[in-house]
Amino acid sequence: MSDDELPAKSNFESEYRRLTAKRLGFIAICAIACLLLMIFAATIGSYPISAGEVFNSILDAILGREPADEGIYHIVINLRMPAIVTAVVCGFGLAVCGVCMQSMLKNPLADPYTMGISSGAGFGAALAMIVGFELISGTGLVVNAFIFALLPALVILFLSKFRNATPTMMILCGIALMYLFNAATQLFMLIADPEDLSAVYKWMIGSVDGTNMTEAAIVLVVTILGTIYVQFMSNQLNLMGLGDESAKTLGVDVERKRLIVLMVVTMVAATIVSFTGIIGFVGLVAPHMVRAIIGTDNRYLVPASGFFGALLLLLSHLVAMTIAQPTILPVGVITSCIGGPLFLFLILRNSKEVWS
Amino acid sequence: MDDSDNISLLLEPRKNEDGTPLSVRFENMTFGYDEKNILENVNLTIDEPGLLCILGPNGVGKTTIVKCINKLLKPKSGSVYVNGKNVHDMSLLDIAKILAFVPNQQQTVFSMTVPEAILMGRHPRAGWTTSQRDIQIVDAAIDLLGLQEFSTRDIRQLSAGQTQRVLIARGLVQEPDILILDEPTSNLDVKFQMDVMRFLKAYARDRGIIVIMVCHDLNITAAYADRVVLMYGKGVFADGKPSEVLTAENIKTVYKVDAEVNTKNGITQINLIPKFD
Repeated sequence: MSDDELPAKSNFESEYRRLTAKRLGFIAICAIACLLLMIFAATIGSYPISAGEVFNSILDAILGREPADEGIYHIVINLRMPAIVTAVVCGFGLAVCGVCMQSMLKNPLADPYTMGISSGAGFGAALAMIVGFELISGTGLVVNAFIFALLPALVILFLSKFRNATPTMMILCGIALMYLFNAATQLFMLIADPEDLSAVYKWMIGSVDGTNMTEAAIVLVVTILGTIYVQFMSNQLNLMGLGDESAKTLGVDVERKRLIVLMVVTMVAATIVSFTGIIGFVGLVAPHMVRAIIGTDNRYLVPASGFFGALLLLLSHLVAMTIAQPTILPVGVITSCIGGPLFLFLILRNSKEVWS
Repeated sequence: MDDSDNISLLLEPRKNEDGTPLSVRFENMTFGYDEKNILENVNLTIDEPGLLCILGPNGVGKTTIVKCINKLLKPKSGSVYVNGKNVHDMSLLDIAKILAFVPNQQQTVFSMTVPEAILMGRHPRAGWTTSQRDIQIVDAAIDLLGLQEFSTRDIRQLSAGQTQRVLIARGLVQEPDILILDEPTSNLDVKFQMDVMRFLKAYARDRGIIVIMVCHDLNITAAYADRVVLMYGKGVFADGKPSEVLTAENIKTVYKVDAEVNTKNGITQINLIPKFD
């Protein structure tokens, strides 16, 4: 446009190729690291099992072969794998939920916790454990937690009939409900007897070792479906980051799409939380860490954060299993212990100013 | 202006295989908030390619009228047609394929490099994937707007003027039939203002498209606009060639400012006469 000498021609083409390679590389590394760590995690426990034996047991399970050693197979597949798979899937799902919420609400603090999902689940669980009230009797706390976790999103959906569902309105709604649910839960805890109290408390911290393979499979399926949808929407999430006006002029029906994404993400987060309890920090921290490495394009950020979150939760699970042997600590304590300092470090070192 | 092949990607004439008419038409459009109307019964047809500038005092509804074209605002009554279709019946994506809107400013929370921000403009045409042509067209826009030195920079670190150039680039890569700009030169220095205006005029002519811009500077408008719409009192006050619209009388009525209007080398020049207490 101007006539004076300008720097050399723009070379986004080669830069973009380099960036794409870096992003795909990061995703691949996280995915492979995840797989290796899963095998390693299954070797840890009171009974020593080698990585090779773990690998064979997994192959046996996948291919439906007759296992060479029933005992080892049982330990690996039935005793150790459910927690490992749950950790991976939940880490993945929570991180994906975090990415979506942060991108579409344009808020670096958004995650299943600040959106009231976890608090809703906590309330539902407390209701079942302390009061003994179950929405569908005989289902235990899982259905309770799931349904109450959906409430904040439903309230937002309802309010959006009357006014525009802006990001600020959504976050304020989430926070309002979070306080409300927390207060109600605390009230229950005041009147609970010590045994129930301890159970509720443990649930609030969140752990992955209480699940069986069926439960892990349910979480897996929901997370995969949710992730596929979000991946499909990822370029529209990018546009939402530009602000509602720009997103609309670039062809995104922002208000509607934001509500739909919110519903999908809430579904995934609610499923995870209702089986594992409230595992904090993965949904918040994993996306930020990955953004600092590969940038903010959600098409890559969604899967990359997912694998990174899986890695983070699996590592936490390993620490939780080994740090106070033979006691297994709830993994939620560890994620917060690791996540807190990591987050502080990230804020201090935010030279790239990934968020403002 | 750089004439390399790269930039020519952006300057390809408007494709019009199916003979769609090029037009923006307001039909008895009224817009307002609650009881108060900002625009009343506006009738305006824009169907000639070229650079059209919308002028008028603050708060008269210049930005409002352009935002009614792409459904950012919904009129109370009346209709707006783009290329013959009522925008009410078009999806945002349909509109984005025809029409690009360059906002005055924009803020993002998460980091994004300049080329990535410009690449967003490809969404209406490209969808989920990014092709090699998408990338090349972004390179062309960066070269065209002289943004090479910022190509690795985070858009949040740019000055207001640099951001405006990024937003213009984003509008260009949309390859629109109709390009709308909301005060695109408000933060640019005089040289860039002139460069942008000269470019937009040539761009409208060479591609055969409509460029509509909301503008404040009378002289720049007079020098470059093909058509001027002067707004005042809830609608269009005057409409026509710069020399017809920008008269001392009109300026006095609309802006309450005395002006001397001369024509030099065929260009209308306006000297505003300052008042002192």
